[in-house]
Amino acid sequence: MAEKSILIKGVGDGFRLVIDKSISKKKLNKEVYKALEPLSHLVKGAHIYIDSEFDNSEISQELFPFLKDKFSVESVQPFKSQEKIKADLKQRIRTREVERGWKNSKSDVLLITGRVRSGQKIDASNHLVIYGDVNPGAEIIAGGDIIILGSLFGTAIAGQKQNNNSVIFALDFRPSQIQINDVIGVGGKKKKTSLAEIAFLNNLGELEITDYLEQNPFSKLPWPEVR
Amino acid sequence: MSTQKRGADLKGKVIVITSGKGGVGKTTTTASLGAAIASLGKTVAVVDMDIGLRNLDVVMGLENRIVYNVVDLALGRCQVKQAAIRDRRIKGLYLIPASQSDNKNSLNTDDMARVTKKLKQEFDYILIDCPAGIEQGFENSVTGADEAVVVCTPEVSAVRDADRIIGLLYARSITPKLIVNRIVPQMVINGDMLSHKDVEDVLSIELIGLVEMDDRVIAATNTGSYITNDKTSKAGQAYTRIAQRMLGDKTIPIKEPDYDQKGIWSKIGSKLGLKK
Repeated sequence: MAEKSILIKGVGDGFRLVIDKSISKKKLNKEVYKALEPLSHLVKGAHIYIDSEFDNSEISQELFPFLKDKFSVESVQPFKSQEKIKADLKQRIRTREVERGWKNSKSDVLLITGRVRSGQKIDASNHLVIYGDVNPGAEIIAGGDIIILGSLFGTAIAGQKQNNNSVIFALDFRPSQIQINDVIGVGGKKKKTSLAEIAFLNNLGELEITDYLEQNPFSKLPWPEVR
Repeated sequence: MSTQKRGADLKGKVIVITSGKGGVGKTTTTASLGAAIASLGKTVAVVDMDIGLRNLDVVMGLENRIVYNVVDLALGRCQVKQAAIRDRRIKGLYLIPASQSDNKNSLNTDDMARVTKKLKQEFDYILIDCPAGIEQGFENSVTGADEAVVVCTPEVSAVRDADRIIGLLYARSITPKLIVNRIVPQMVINGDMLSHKDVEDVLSIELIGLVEMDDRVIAATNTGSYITNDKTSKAGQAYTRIAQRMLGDKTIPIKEPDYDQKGIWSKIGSKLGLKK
């Protein structure tokens, strides 16, 4: 049996033409005609998808007038496998996010305002942002990050449970105790000046606290991402 | 006894004096403010809620005249007239003492609600001396309170407890006001003591007074007299000013303690009793 260099498969609303690389471009039209001719009654009004080793878009454009003339096909397009479709989609999403905005992106953040007093406990399932101060003796717990736009004097426990990526940030970072996942850090002597610092777990799994403006662990990320 | 009893019209204001931590000066503050407000012409009942560990009566020098106490009043065993001891030195000042043999679980919040309602009919101001802690004693004391005064010394542990109490008061929709007590200016200058500003920053509530440490307060409480009667005492003057502010006078500024460096001669002079 002669080797079939063009395979025809039914797909969706038409046919997928799998074109083997042994076919030269010159012979393409002839081979395609030969393959589709027995099915001419089915091909009429159908969409043809080209799946080849060559540039599918180019071939599609070349074949379209020929196939429309001979078989009255509806369209000739390059074939996109599911993976390719998804990859293209991701590519489009990334450019869309950076360019157009984040309407469909959401983060699970509990945003509260006010002073958290001694003996009070705030428990957020994911991230926690506080516009206010946290007094000594207060306890704040979050499944994700803790961001305090104020003074942190109390105890902050982030990354509950099993989240090593969480961070604890405060404009005036002077906690009595912090914890990220299961790593606990004890607060040092009370500093006189306030310093915006961020606490995170480094590559070795140790708690590291850096001056946020000098060096923050997110400054190396190339593009914005939802957290 | 108080003159106008207007049936259902409750004229009195109930102010609870609390702190969380013990020993910061609640009882002294209650007695002093009671005396100061009465001296300004109002009828005042000071109520000791430290049941089982009563000391407001001792501080006021009225311990020998106790017949009935607040538990008797709450459980209906006596009238307000019988429980309230009139202080013969200051017109308008009355004490309702605590019971020494019971404990704080002898009363519940319903009993206290009834008591405060009765007292509001008889007096202009009812000052409740709250015991230390956050358990039943505290719960009983804040029942029926219209306002609260939190007494705090400039010490880290006192601030921590005061903060807790403030949270609990806010949860009951009572807005507390702050008195910072026993300030030692020299220690603040040396950096050994928190300044009242540090206390104010953490607690973040309205300040109504600053009271300096004054040894004469200890003498006054031991002899059952009022520091507000001593016109030279800084603490006494502070309490008088606080009383005026509580009565609504908004014109008196808060007097900050003297944080300037005292030279050795002025120190000797003040030891000898010479005025600055």
